[in-house]
Amino acid sequence: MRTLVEQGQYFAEIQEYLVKGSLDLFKSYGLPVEHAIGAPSLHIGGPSVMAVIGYAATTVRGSLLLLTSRAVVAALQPAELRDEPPTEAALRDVLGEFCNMLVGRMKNRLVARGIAPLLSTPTTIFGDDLKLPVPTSGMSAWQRFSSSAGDIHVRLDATFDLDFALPEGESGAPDLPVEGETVLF
Amino acid sequence: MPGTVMIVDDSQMVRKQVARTLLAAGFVVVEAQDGADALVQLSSVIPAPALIVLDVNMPKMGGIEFLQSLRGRGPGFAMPPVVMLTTEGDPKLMQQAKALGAKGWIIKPFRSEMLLAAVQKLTETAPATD
Ligand SMILES: [Mg+2]
Repeated sequence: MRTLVEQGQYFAEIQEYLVKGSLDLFKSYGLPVEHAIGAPSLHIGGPSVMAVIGYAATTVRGSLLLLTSRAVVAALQPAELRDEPPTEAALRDVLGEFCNMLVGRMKNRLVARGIAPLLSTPTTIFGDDLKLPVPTSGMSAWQRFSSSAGDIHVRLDATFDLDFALPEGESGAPDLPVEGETVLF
Repeated sequence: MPGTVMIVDDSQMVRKQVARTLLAAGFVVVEAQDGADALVQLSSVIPAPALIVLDVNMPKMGGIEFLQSLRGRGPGFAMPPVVMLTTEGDPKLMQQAKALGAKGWIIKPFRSEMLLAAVQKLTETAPATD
């Protein structure tokens, strides 16, 4: 039986993976971001893009969501693919793939600790002044990342079963491949 | 001479990145947006691709299911080498793909030169197909 305090600690650890993953990922695509502590209330004015991916392991499930402005997504597009004015479909695709890469990073850290969630494919939305309802169950937290192109908001939702546990350390799987690595069989 | 490579990924951004890298190296590139689309295209692409770059998580049909389907085609079908290109680093999935005949695994985000090196290596050593 896990208490709310223990679940809160696990949730914080998973968020640490997410923050680290976000800093690394956005930087690798040429848009360095800073983790903004003490974020103001969420507000993305004007054209916005949202991407969400669900995850589910036996004892934890939830979703990872990215919300940002159209300008930020355009800046995240690899330079060599930016030769046309970005269409709505292209921007949704780009943010969906970033959501995919970010949830993948989170999963890979969890796999090293014995939790291997299945991932959904991204669902994306494009619109003006997108807003989200507050979740009514489980745990949920927003992280804000600031960049030269604008803010990126990342929300993690998680519902833990009472028997969820995150085994200590990464000793169980010492030689897991990392992002960017090639393994030939 | 470099042959045809099929890239199977639900993200247009990834397909374009892969295509750009391989086109620059002289490969012909065919794009499919999921496993089901790839299966349809495989019956019509002539000559058959010399290699397939394959995502894992896709709508309709994911990469593992696609590999299972290729395996099920029987002895008359010469399976081209397959390189998985995915955000997944789960060793169980890697084992599954390997058991189904995949030859490599690259974790996104990928660097163009690494992808190209893997594709060139596997297309050079691939047995000639009819
Ligand atoms: Mg995918």
